[in-house]
Amino acid sequence: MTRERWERLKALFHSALERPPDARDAFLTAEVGDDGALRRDVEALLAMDADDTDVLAGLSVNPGALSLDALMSGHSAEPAAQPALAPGQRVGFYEVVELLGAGAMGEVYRTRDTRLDREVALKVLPPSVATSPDRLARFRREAQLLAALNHPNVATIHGVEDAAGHPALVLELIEGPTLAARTADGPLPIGEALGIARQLAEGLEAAHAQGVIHRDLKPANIQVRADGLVKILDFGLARSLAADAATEPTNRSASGAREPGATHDGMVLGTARYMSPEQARGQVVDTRADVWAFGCVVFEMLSGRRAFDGETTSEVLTAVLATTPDWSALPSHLPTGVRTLLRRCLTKDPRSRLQAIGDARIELDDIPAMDDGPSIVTPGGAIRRWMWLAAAVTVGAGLVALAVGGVFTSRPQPRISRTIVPLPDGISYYRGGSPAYRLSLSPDGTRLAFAASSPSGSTYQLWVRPLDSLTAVPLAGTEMASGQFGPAWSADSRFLAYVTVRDLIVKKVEASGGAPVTLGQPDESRGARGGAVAGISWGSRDVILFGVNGPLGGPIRRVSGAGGEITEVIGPDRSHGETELWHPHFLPDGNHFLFVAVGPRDGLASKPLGLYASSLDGQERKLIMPGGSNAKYVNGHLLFVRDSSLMAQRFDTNRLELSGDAVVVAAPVLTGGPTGATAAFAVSQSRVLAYIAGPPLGVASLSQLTWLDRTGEAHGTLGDPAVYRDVELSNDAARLVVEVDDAESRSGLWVVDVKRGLRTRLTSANPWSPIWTPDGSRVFFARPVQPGALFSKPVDGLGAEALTIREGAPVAPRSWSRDGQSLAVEIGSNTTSTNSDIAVMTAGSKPQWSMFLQTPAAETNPRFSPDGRWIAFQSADANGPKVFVAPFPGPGASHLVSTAAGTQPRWRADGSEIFYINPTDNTLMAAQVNGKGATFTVGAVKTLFDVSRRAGTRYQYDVMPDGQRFLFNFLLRQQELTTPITVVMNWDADLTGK
Amino acid sequence: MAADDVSALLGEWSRGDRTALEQLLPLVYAELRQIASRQLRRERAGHTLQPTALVHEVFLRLVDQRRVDWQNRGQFFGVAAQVMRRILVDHARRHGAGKRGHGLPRVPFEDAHAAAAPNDASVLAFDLALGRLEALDADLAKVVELRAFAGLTIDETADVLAVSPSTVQRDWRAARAWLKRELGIEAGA
Repeated sequence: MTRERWERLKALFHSALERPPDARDAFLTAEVGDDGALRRDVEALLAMDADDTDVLAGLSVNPGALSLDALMSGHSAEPAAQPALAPGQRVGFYEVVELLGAGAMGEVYRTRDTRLDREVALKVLPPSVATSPDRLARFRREAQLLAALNHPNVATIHGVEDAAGHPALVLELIEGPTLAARTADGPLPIGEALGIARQLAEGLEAAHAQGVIHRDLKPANIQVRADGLVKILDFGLARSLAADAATEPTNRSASGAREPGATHDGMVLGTARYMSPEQARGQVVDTRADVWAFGCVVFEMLSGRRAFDGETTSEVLTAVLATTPDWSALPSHLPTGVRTLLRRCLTKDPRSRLQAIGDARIELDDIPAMDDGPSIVTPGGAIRRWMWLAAAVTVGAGLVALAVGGVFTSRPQPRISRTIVPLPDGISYYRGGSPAYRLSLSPDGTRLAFAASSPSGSTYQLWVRPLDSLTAVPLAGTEMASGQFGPAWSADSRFLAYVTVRDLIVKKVEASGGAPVTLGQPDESRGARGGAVAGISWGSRDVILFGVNGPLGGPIRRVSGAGGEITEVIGPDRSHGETELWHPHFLPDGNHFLFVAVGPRDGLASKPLGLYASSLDGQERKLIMPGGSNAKYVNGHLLFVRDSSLMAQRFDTNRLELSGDAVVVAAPVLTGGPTGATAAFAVSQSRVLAYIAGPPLGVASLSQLTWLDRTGEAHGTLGDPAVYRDVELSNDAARLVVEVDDAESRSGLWVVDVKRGLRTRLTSANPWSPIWTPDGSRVFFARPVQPGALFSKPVDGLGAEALTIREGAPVAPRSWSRDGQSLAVEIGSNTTSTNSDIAVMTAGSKPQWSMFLQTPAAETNPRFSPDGRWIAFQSADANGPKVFVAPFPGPGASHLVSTAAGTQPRWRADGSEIFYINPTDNTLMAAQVNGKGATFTVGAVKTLFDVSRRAGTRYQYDVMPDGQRFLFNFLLRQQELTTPITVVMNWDADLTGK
Repeated sequence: MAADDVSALLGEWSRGDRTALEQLLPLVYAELRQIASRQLRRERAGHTLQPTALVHEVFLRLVDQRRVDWQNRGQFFGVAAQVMRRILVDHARRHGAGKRGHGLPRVPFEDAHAAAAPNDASVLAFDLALGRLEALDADLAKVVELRAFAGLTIDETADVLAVSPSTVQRDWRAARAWLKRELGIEAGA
């Protein structure tokens, strides 16, 4: 239904409701004229409206109509009743012998035809049909149509009878097991299975020629007689038994095979396992649904497994909609033609499926008869196919490698050079709340394409920036481009392919401008919320692959660069927890590609389960590495992101294997997306690399390390926005250690080179409270999960973590005396009766511990004075925290430093000032102090500046030795993120040979 | 996660900061899911998942009542209804129908007497149908979402959507009729 039609329908519905019921008929006649369909729609809505009794229950459910499980398990939603007929009872000319079985379709009796003296089956339909005149009428019409069907592979309908008030079908009685009983014991011999398949195809073909669709073909509806003759049962009954007389189609289309969809919209029929995707969606069903079911049945005969399965109906339906069968379950010696036929039958898009069952019969006829002999299942078949594939690939990729090698050796060693490409003014990576950060470099390395907000900011748009130009140009007409994961360049660097959000239309546009051209759209995304594209790649064979994140996510889909049908290449392995496949990336042969399998969503996050390689036939897959980001291959290297670092590692495209060590190419690289591991980078064969630097996205409280002077004026930033905590400069202020969360919100300690802003990871696994040793060679820290343990690690990255244990309570190192002899430590409390205290550890071969301050108040953040004679600390009681100074090693009285509330004390390097934060007023304070003599004096205390943007939990700032500059961890608003794109030429110059 | 965060985010959102929604969704989702999973565990012991009650529970837990005005409240329920819908659908998908056939009682969105879980197939079918309605008429679908998944009354829904109650009433009637037809419910059943 179009929106326009719905608007009209809705208006009529409301207008009709305003009129008394007896006036509506005339009203509708006047309004709709001869549009009978519209009138029926309005009447149906009115009927539904009038039906209402209980608002929400009425809205949502008629459990009987919707209980798929009731349908599937063969139980009617209606209460089970006594069998309608008793042995000996007569129905017309038929005498009941016995009850054969009962199910959703009614009860089946063995009866004797007294006129012809033969046995027939009598199928008594359930009361729901009997009590609905419309359904009954439809059932009779169908039965007549079926009775006219005369084919050896279709169970004959002799007629319709009335059995004790219930309509009953008189059917050919077939003795023999159903196919369901056969397949339950495992796969059938190939020859036998193909023989049954041929007969099934013939029976279906005959029915389709009469305009009859089975709609519920499944092994339980197929019987195999002792003489091998196959009989298809219950033709078309599913539809006859369907509800919904109100919208019954009144005419058939010319072909007779296709029917108006209104009947079945929203109503799911048949058995889920053999249900075509369009049936599962409640869409229009035609003969191609039977083709699908045929494929499922044949697959099951050959493999002994169901093509689509699950423990529950909804799981099965999900599998039908989103997975591909396990082709490796088919016997290895199965003729290729059968394999191909099954694939064509089990193509989800009916337009791409085998169109007519007759074609299946022809295919099967072409396959030489198989002598089954002893039936042997060979699970090794899958491996052999893979080896064959690998051999084929070796030849092709070898040629590429040769060509590339030639280019490399003929050039002098180029130098790495970096340039910065800013976003156009007023443009950001954000539209609404979600960021776009995908880049793509043309294969010839001359142009950079990226998605960013449109000038109006209302949507995403594709931008192209020639690298030899100063400006990026928006591509008109690309406004609905999916932001996070587009675009892809064609091999000739002329076109860009992208996918629109929600409706998943694949388009291409000339990179130099022009109107976008639609290449295709997954059938299932029409009119639905399809999700967002999760990776797109355009290979050298002019095939475009893309993954989808969202309701229609699951397989990697393909479409030709020239446009056409969209088909599935490979689906997730649900048995291993995969739900969606993302980030397809073609390898140079244009056949093999990489992709990332992701697991189910948890909140808004999905877990990457592995980076795999497969090929366009979707036959096999190979694990490249666990986890996985949107990896890209170029010139012998695989580039991928790990913990915000862009890594390069040798990759053999023949063997599809990594080798050597991964080397950091750039860090940090912006990552985000539902796995947190989708990185903003692009590479081209011409040795150009582009990336967006920055911290992981998608975290709530990004902050930025900001330099400020004593007036609070900002003087630049240090490093990139990230989730920072606990800022700690080394004594010489050359380096900073800071706690940073990575993309998965795992915290780690990083060392930042203050001059250059470069950040390297020191350690991970939830470290906190880092401090420097006086000489800046090591960082001490703690881990909350290991109470009592103090860790230290050399900052040159070499050497293991050292561990010191103080039994008992949690500890947090806070300050080393400058002579390196004493470490002031916070001792957490294990009980609620005491609060944290301060202890000092004396360095030595065997560390000595002594308590420095132990009071009912909570003492934290001890800080040695530069001369080591005093310790500043904060102490919090019920009145809040204040900053004090006490002599070290003591004993001696504590001196109050803060005028009011005070936290996070720090010394100026010459000992003349103590800085602290007033948490009440959110200000940074400076207290003049003098500790040179025997007593400690506090002079003027000044307010320096507002620090209400302070971020992090413990130390939110540090001060340079001169006391003139402060480094604050300030909260960042995400809208400020307009990081320029970094372009690196000859990025791999240092990697040659690695 | 503090009530402060959610209230502040709601405030920021209503002041036009659209990133606030991005931050809000996971908070609401996490909380709802936690409560829902607790409920769903209890459900096996014979209790019923009552989505609308869950949403209100989450609202009370997450939102600092003193700091939100009516507009915020509406926004919260708008978000919560979406989230609730997703949770129910996810649950139905994952959990499947576990309990097969045999005349399931009418359950889903009623706080009634029912002793079984919502019929998973019903939830999925309802979600699919609502998706189709969204494509056809997003306004109507929003009304349904708020009514069905956040349990809002006509008046509350009107507040949230900033339209008159009579408009909601009209939309609701049309949406309900359309959905029932879409779901294959028979008139007079």
